[in-house]
Amino acid sequence: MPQIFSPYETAGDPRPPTPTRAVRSSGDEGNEEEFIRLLARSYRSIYSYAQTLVPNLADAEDCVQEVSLLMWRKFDEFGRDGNFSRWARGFVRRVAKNHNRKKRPHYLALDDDLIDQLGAMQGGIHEILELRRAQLAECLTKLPAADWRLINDYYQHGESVEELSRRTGRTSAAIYQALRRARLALFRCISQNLGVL
Amino acid sequence: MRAERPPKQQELLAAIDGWHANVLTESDALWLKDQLRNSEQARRIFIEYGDMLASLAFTGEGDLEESADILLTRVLEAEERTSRRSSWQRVGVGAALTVTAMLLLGVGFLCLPSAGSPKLAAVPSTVKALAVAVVTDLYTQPGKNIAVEVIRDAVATHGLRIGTALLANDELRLEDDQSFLELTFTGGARLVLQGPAHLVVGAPLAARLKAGRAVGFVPPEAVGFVLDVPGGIVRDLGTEFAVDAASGNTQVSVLTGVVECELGSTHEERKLARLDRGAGVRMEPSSGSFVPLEGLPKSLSQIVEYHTGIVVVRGEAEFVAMEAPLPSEAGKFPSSLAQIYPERQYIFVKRGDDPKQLLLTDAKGNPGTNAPFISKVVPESPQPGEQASFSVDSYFLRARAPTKTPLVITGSVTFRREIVAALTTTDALSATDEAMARPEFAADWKEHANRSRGSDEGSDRVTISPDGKTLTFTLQASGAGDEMRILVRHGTPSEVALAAPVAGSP
Repeated sequence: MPQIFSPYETAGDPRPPTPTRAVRSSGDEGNEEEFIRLLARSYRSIYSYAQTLVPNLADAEDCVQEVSLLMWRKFDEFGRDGNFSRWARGFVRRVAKNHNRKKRPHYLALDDDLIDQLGAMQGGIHEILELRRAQLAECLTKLPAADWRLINDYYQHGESVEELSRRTGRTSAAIYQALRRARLALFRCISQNLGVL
Repeated sequence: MRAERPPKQQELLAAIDGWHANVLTESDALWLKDQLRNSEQARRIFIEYGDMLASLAFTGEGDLEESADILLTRVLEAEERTSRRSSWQRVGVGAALTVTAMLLLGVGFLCLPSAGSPKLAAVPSTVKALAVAVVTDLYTQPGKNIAVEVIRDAVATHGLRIGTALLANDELRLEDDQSFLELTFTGGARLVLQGPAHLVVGAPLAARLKAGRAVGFVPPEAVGFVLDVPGGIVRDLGTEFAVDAASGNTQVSVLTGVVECELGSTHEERKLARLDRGAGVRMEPSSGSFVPLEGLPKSLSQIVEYHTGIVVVRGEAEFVAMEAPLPSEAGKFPSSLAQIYPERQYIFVKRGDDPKQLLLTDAKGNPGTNAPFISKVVPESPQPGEQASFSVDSYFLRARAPTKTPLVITGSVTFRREIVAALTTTDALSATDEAMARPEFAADWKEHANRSRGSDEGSDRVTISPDGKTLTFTLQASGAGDEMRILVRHGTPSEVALAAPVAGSP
C-alpha cells in the first residue's frame, strides 16, 4: 500500500539538493525560479481566463498546460517590469484560438474576433472580478442547504452529475437543473452584494 | 446583424450557463455569439460568469497563489529527486512544468467534474502549504495506539500524527470511542472528533461529518465555518458547538455564541434554526422540523470535556461546562461529587526567583501589579525550553458536602496539557480570584470571607502524576467546602503542532 503520509522534513534535515535542469543551463536557475514565482501568482487568473474562452474543462486544462510551456519557452522575451498576467492572457488567447479552430461542432467555439473582444473586456474589469470573487464565499453560505450541498459535491468533491443522480435518487436532468439554478442564484447574489443588479 | 440593444439578462444568463455546460443548441449558441459581438454588457456578464465558475473550485483557497508558489518549488524538487532515481531528468523542465500544472489542477481545482482531469495517485504530503487542515492533537487511552484511517484518492493509510497536513477531500475514520482527534483548519476553526467518527475535510472553512461526534470552536476570523452533517448543515457564527451524529438524528448544542442550523431538505422552503448559547436541537429532516433539546446531551459530555481541556474525570467528580457559581451561591449546589469548572484562559505567568513561585505578568512577561503567589508548582523547576513567560488556563474545583456531615470525596482529573500549579490554600485562591475567576467572583468572596475555602487541611490530599497531567485528590468536604484552582499550561494546539517539526513515518 502506498504511503501517503511520508514524514515531513524536520528542522534539522538538510535541504534537498538544488535541482539541475536538462533543458537550460544551470545559470538559468534564477530565471526559472522567477518564472515559477510569476506563474504561481497568476495561475488562478490564467486558469479562469482559459476556462472562459474554452468552456470545456478538460480542454481548458490542456490549454493552460500548453500556455505554461509556451510562456516558459518565451520567458526570455518577457520584460521584467511588465505585467505577467497580461502577458499570459495573450498566450491564452492565442492557444484558445488554435484550440477553437479545431473544435467540432464549431458553433460551440468562440470565433477569433470574439476572443479578442472578450480579451479587451477581461483586461478592463480585472478589479471587478477580484471583488466578485471576494463575494463568492459569502453567497455560498446563503444558498439553501440542498443547493449548497449540491454545489459542494459537484465542484469541491468532484462528484459527476451521474454519481449525484445515483446517490440522491434524482434524475440527471433534475441535478443539471438544480446546479444551474444554484449557479444563477450565486451569480445574482454576488451582483446584488456589489449593488450592480 | 441585430441592432445593439441590451439583452434580457435572464435569457442571457441562461444562455451563458448553457454555453459553459456545453449544452446549447446551435441556434442558441449563435444567438449568444451575436449578443457577445453587439453588447458590451453581454461580454461583461460572460466574463464574470465564467470567472465565477472557475472560482467555485477555489472557494476557501484564498491563499492559493502564495501556496502555489511554495508548491511549485517543492514539486520541482520532488520531481527532480524522483527523476534521479528513474533517469527521467532528460525530459526536462517542460515536462516538469506540465506535471506542475497537473498537480495544481489536481490540488487547487480539486476534482472539477471533468472526465479529462488528470488523476493523481497521491499528492506529496510535504505539500503542507496547501493543507486545508492540520492535525493538532491526538489522544487515546494510555497503552493503546490510536486507530485512524486516512483515505486520500481512494487509497487508505494509517499513521496520522500531530502536524500531519490534510488536503481537501481527505477522509478520516477514527475508530476507538475513547480516542480524540483535533484538527485546526487553515481558516482558523478547530474541530475535535471523538471516535468512532467519519469526517471528510472540505475546505478551510468547511467539513462534512458523516458520522460521529464533534465539537467545533470557531474564532472570529473563521466565522461562517460550515459543518455538513447528516440531515443538514451547521453554520457557525462565531462560537463553540457540539454535534452528535453517531446514531439517529443529528443533535446540535451550542456551548457559547450562535450557530445556524439548516435542515437538508430537498423542499424549496429553507428550514433554519438559530441557536444561542445553551440551546440545542435535534434535526429531523423527514418531518422538516427541529426538536429542542433540554441541556447538553449526555452523549456529548465526554467530547465537550476534552474540548475544554480535560481528557477524563474519574471517581467522585464531574466536569460542569459553565462558570463556577459565586461563593455566595455555592451553598445552592451542594453535591456529593466534586465539581470542576472552566475559568479564564490564556493567563500569562512566569516563574519567580524561587521556581516554586509563579508571578502574574502581562503578555510581554512584565510583572503585573497582582501579588505573587506560591503553591504546588509542577514541575518545581523550569522545563527544558520553557519560555520566561508562558500562559495557563484556569480550572476551579469545588467539593461541598450536601449536609453538615463531613464527607470524603476522592477523584482525579486528567488534563490534555501539563498542570503548572494547584492552588490549594485559601490565601492563594483569594489572591488569584481577580485574575482567574469571572469578574464578580473576587468581590463576592470578600463579602463572604468568613470561612476557610482551601483544600490543604486535615486529611485533604492533592497529588499530581509524574507526567504532570493528572491531579488526584482526596478531600474531606464539610459544610464549608473545599476549593482549589488548577492552572494548566495553555496550548493553542495549532501553535504547538505547527511550531514543532513533525518526524517519523507511519
